[in-house]
Order: sequence, then C-alpha cells, then structure tokens
Amino acid sequence: MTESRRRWLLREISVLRSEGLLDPETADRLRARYETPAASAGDSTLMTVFASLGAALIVLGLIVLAAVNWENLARPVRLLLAGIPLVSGYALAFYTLCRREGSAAWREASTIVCMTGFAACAALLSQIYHIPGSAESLALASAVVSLPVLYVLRSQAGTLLYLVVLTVWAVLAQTAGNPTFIYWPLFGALLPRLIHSFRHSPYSMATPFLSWLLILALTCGIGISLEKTVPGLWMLVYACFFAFLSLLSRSTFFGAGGDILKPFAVAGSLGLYVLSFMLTYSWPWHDIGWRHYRPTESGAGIAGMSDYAVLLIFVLLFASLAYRTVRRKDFRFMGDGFLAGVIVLCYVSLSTFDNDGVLIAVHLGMNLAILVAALFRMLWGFRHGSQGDTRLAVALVCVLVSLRFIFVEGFFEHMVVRGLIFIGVGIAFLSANVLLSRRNRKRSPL
Amino acid sequence: MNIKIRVLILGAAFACALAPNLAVLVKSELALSRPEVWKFHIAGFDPYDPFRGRYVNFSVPALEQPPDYAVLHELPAGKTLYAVLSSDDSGFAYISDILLSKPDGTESWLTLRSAGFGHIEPHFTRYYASPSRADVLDSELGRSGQESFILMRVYRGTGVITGIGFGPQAVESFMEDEQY
Repeated sequence: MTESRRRWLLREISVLRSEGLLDPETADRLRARYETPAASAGDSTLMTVFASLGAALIVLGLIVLAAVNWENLARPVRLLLAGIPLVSGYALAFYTLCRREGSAAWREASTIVCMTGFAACAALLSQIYHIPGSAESLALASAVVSLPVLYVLRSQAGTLLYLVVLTVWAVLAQTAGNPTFIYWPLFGALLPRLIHSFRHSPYSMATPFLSWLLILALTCGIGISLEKTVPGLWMLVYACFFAFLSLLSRSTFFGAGGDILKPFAVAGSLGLYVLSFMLTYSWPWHDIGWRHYRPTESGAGIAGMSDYAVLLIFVLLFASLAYRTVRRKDFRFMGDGFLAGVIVLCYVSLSTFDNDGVLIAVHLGMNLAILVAALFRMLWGFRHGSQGDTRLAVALVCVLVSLRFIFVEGFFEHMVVRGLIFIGVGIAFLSANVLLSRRNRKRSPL
Repeated sequence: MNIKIRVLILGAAFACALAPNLAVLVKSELALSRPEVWKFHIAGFDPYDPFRGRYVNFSVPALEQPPDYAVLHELPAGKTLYAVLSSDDSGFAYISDILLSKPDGTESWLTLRSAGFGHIEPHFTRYYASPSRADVLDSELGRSGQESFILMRVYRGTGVITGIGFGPQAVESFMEDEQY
C-alpha cells in the first residue's frame, strides 16, 4: 500500500469511529495493523528507480572514460572493453537471479545493465572494425535480445525500455522505407509481461508510467506499422483501438479498478474525439476503400496482410468489450463505442458507394455522431453527478460549434456573430455548472 | 517458473546476445590475419567538412557500381551475391566477377547485397576517426583532393577496413594500418 493511501486509511478509521460506524475494538485493530509503514511502497520504488538509473549511468560513464583514451589503446584492449558491458550485465543478472531475486532494485538494475550492455558491445565492435551498421538494426537486435531477460527478472523498467526501443525501431525502419509489420509479433511477445504487471502490481508507482507509455507506443506503432494497402484503413484501426481503450477502463480484467485504469479512459476518449473531429473534414475521406487498393509501400507482400490482421484483432477486442459492457449495463462510455461504430459505418458506406451524396451523408453523420456522443455523456454525467463527464460533454459541443461556425472562412469579419457565439458557449459552460451544483446539493444535504 | 528454468533461459539469452558479437569479432579477426591488403578508391565526401560525428563517410565506387554484369541486372534488391576481387595495374581493387554462390577457390571475395537495377548496396561507408586525428585528416583531404582510398583485408566474404590514405604524396603519412 502506498504511503498516501495508508495515511488516508488511518484518517478514515478515526472519522468512522467518531461517527459510530466502527466500534472501538475494530478501529484499534485496524489502526495497529496499518500504523507502521512496514514496507513503504514509495521508498522501495525510489530505491528501484535510483538503482536502475545508477546502473545505467555507471555503464555509460565507463564507456565515456574508455572513449577518452580509446585511440591510445591496442585493439585487444579495445575488444576487451567492448565485451565488458555485455558480460558484466549478464553476470549481474545471474547473480541477481540466484542470490537477490527478492530485491526489486537488483532485478531492475540488472535488466537495465543487460539491455544497455548489449547495445554498447555491438556499437563498440562496429567502431573498432569500421562496420557501418544502422541504428535501426541495433534497436531491433537490442529489443529481441532483451526480451527473455525482462521476463526472467520480472523487470518493469526493462519493460518500459523495451517499449521505447521497439517504438524507436519502428520509426527508424519506416523512415528507411523498410517493412515494420514485425512490430506486432514483437509487441505481442511483451503482452504476458504487461498483463502480469497490471494484474499483480496495480498500485505500483511504475504502473501509470507503464500505462501511458503503452498507450503512446501503441498509438505510434499503429500509425507507423500500417502498410496502407487499402487507403483509409487507419481510420477503422484507430477507431476500434481508442474505443477498446475506453471500454477497457471499465473492465475488471486487471482485477483492480479506479486510478490504474484512468490512463486508458482518458487516452481512449480523447483519442476517439480527436479522430472524430478530424473525420468531420473532407480530406481524410478522399480516395479511400478497397477500390483504391495499392501495393505495399515497403514492397514486402506479406506486410499488407498485417494490416488486415491488426484490424481484425482490434475489431474483435472492441466488439467483445462492447458486448460485455452492454450486458453489464455500464453505459458510461457507450457514447465512445457509438462513435467508433459510426466511423466504421461511414468508412464501409463510402468504400462501397463512392459518390458525393454519400460523402455529404458521411460529413453530416460524423457531426451528428459527435453531438449524440456528447449529449449521451452529458446526460450520464447529470444522472450520476459526475462533473468531469458533464464538463467534457459541454467542451465537446463547444469544440464542434467552433469548428463548424467559428473557424470558417468569413467568420472574423462578422463580429456580431462572433460575439453571439462566444456568449452562447460561455452560457453553456456556466449553465452546466449551475445545474450540476444544484443536483449535487439535492443529493447531499450537508 | 522455477529458478532452474529461469537460469537456463537467462543462459540461452546470454548465448543469443553473445553469439552475433562473437561472430563479428571472429570473422573480422580472421580477415585481419590475412597478409594481402586491398586498396579501394573512395569518393563522395566533402574535403572541407568530411566528418559527421566522429567518422569519415564515403562511398566505394568499385564496389557499388561495378562494371556491367548481366547477372547483377537480374538480381532483385536485397539478394546476396559474392564479388570476386582483383587488382588493376595501379594496385587498386575492382570486382572481377559476380557469383550467386560462394566461390570454391582461394580467391578473395566479399559478400555483398544487390541494390537492384545493376547496383550493389553500399557496405563500406565509414572510417571512424578519433578527434585528435580528425583535424589532421581534414587538412590532408583538402591537400589530396580526390586521390583518396581505403585499405582493406579480406577473408571469405568479410572485409575489414584497416586504414585510409590520401593522395600519392600523403600516403605514407596517413596510412593508419599500424593500428591493425
């Protein structure tokens, strides 16, 4: 339990005892149980972070020191120095596994040294033998080689670093025009580790970082790895992906709820709304669909199949979560699911009937869908007294109005219209606040 | 997962991490043990600002745009090929034959890859120079103009650059082969 939560619990015990909800004996037992910060999660996390940073800095520092005298060293000495980061990293890992397996600090530090050690060794050998190599191949090799290590040592820092290296590789490969479809098997290889981390350490300080990095890596990875053989497929993939994130935040799959799933809720909803607003414009809808099929950008035939596989996976994930959410009658993020469904419908319609009438219907449909999703969220927010949801809904409507009526040609010349719209938007925000406050006062007489 | 299995997995991971690096080391050292030194003209770097970071960037025309071989034009990009080397009258190396399987004889040959359209992918593009040598190399590049070359030792497909030289006058001063 983190220190802040422990202190909150102790305060609550006193409050509940004073209100007569907890008898004195139970209150004393609970206080005795939680009064001493036995294994302060905050301190051990700090130790782990310091250990990981310290280990990485030592490796880098030794490399810098060696680099200063590099030209004066004979080749055998250079080769020995090149091998030291790699060998010492794995030696440390073996020692940690056999003797310090219970210490998170040792496990995290060993993993970091292993991962950086391999990259350092490969880079130094390239320099000694003048091998050009590429950052792309080094990143890919580092990621693949480090995968078993972070499983064996159950390292969270290693998991974070792996995600970063994998995403960097994808960016470099895409820039060089090479296929990036193996991003998905490499990401998939990390999934058991990620699921284990979320289920067994939901309140660890690293979990929010892991959540956000995971979301960022996937968002970048989707965009980079799609071969774009069928134009516009990215809309479907992103729609299903963000809707899946949003619905995942309401899932009980990870066992714990609340804060640890918040990144998924925020990223899912935000991503879906940004995507929807983009799709209210014309430019994404030109020349999309299977009628405009084209060869893969990288030239690798199999890479095109990966687009369909990724789409199928995200559609299935989204559909299964949507079904379970409806069955549980948990409608908080159903507006997000509805938006994703409309995007899919618009794409299929325009791909099938590629004409101006359908295009106009798609534009109207997207705008209406955002409005409906916002109103749904607003109603849900009012019903459950959620100020965040209500304000978000109002903000969505205001953005929609702004995009359709303010940021258009000729708007700035019509000052009266500008003034009226700004007043209207301001009234909408204030009204939402007043209504919510009244409702909350009715519910809570205190 | 019990501790023994984890130790085994870690051992296998160590072997996988060590193997490619060892392979590079062994192949390169075998090439460096060969007595024959090959000279290749280099081109394409700016003598006034030749360094990106701490290395010289260049191209080797003899290895990237060899004489017209029919087999090269038929190869798709990324296909492995074996370039047999010979020396011309002035002592500079060139590709005398391109094969699709490893040569059986004792000729020196390099393992390269086709870039498509009759070209070969650049394989030797850098010479790492320490900061203290960089300024000296820079001025010599300016003096020698385009008469620049690299030295290489070759063994069964692996080539290792062992030195860099500039112009006939500056050759003796800047042959860095003593490092190898």
